[in-house]
Amino acid sequence: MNKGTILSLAALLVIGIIVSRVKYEVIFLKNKLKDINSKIEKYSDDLKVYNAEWGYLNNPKRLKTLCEKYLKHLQPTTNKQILDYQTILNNDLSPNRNNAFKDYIDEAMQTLGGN
Amino acid sequence: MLLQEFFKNFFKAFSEGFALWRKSEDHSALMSKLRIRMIFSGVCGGILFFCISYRLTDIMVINQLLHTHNFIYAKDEIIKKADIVDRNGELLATSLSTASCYIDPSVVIDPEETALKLSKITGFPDYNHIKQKLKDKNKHFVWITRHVTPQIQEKVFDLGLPGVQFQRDYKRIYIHGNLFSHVIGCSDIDGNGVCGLEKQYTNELFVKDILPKKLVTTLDLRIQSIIYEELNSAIEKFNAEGGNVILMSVDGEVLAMVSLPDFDPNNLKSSSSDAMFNRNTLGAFEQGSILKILNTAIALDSGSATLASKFDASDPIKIGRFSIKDFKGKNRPLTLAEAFVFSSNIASAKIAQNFGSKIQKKYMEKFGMLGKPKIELPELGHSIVPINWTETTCMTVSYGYGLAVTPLQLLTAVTSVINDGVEITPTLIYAKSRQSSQKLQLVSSETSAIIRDLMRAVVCFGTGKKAAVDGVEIFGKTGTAYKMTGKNYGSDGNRKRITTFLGGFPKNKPEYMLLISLDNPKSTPETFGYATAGWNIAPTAKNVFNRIVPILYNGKNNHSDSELKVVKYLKLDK
Repeated sequence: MNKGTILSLAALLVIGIIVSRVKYEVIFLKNKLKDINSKIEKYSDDLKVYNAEWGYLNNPKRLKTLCEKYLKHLQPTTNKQILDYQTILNNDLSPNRNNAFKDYIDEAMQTLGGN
Repeated sequence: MLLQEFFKNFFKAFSEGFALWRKSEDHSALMSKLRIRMIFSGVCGGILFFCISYRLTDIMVINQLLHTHNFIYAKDEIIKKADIVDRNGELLATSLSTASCYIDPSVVIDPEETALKLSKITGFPDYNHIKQKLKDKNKHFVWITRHVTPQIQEKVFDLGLPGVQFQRDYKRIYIHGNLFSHVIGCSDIDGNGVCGLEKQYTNELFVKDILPKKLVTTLDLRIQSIIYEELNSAIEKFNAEGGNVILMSVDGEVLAMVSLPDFDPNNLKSSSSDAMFNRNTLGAFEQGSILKILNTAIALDSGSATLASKFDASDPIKIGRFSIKDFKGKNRPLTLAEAFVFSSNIASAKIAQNFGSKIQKKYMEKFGMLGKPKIELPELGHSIVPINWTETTCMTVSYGYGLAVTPLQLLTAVTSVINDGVEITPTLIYAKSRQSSQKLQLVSSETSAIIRDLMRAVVCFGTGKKAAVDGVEIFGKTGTAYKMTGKNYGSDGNRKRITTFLGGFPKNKPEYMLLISLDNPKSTPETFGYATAGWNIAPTAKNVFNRIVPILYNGKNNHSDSELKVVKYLKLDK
């Protein structure tokens, strides 16, 4: 048996081992991915259940009943309570108070990113 | 084949060697030759044996170790149905993971025992039904029941019946029940859309992705809930047969759409076809005086009349055996502004006569009143258009008879008119209206401003007084239309009405438009025997405005009642 045959057999054996290793690595990673995906899906399904429960809890009818029961001293906002910035500034306030109020509003608007 | 070749060569070499050994006297040379061959064969055999052993170990041990046992979730392709949320991200419809029970009849040992045991569990069909399903032994799959709870699934597992299996399934849940029934729609047991957005986007809602997806709508849960509540109480109060509401922003985004009676999308079996009828998009009705908004806009935009133009409304107009009359008429010549504010049918018919049927038809087509409404819903009704658009048709259409349109078409047309005359397209999909597209100018911005002023005057001095609210300039128009019952509108005491209020706020720069209707409301002692729009739907609209304005309105209010340009053309009775 010549050297060439022995080398070929050895090379074949090495390649076989490498290919086999790669194959099992791929199978392993594929299963790992499947496992991660299944976990993501399971968690997302669980999240959906929690979201649905949160939705039921936030049902406006239910919230209204709870508000009427526990927040008796509070009333819904009326149209009269909503004014724009300019209307507030044009209110009949003393000049000093008006300026102080204006500064306060300006500061608040700047903080909120308004102009 | 390889093995066969190997053994063939091996025996050939062995027999040749043995024959040579017998012939030759020099056995040592032959022995060394044979040894080499034996070693070679041994090595080959060893490798072969190793390969076979390795493969067997691979199949029986390694594969078992690497395999994931989570069969339920380990799927390569996952098809889920996307959630539907409102504009603030509140969940409206979702799909929850459930289990559905099926049986492989071919492996069931005792069908009677299986049927008996399963029928005793809550939510499963009766004994005969299950037994019938198990009859055909050639079948390998029959559904027994869908969407069972984990507790029931455990009970079935405890029975240990052969052939009874569970498959992972999804059940569509509508969080707020009836509240969005006509808009969101509903799905069948397999998740396929039956009506509403569920049907419109049935293919798009199924996504092959493990991460959750959402369909964001323009709807607002808070607003829808308020409107639903107010409409329900109005129906109860005025003993109406039904009602419908649409609230839309001027860029076409529908914030609320309610149609009553409605149905529970979570329990489709108990829903009647009447309840599933979406009055807003499917029901084409004669809309009455609301059409005077469009009639006046056409007159102003075509230049056939101005605010000061006078039309004699002293006497009814007689056409054959019919006559056009006013409800509480002023019996005097009216300006265009007065004709609008006091809702004169006679003057409206004369205004329409001035510009003629051709111009009226052309404008109505431009306003989208002669086709189907445009929105992402499958339930769209075609307007009922007169076959011959004669001069008489032109006169009746001017005050809302002879042309039946859906409430959504009417709201879209009027919103376009008051929105500086720029065409709008209603949508239920969030941010879609912001995508730039070529918008048509339906009427001039001057006409648009006058129409807003006229509609404001209706709320200040006309039939819409009861819709006025403090703190915000509401503008609108009321309409009372008699309902066609069979071939006529019924006799005087037996007429059915549809009362409508169409309005918006704030007047100077409109942001939101509301259309609210009641189907056949009855008079009450509070309304002094009247059942017209000003007495029932206008106060209902006021209740809606009072509750939604603080949520929607950002306070851009300019109290400019004194600046109403139309006031100088109005002769107001004390």
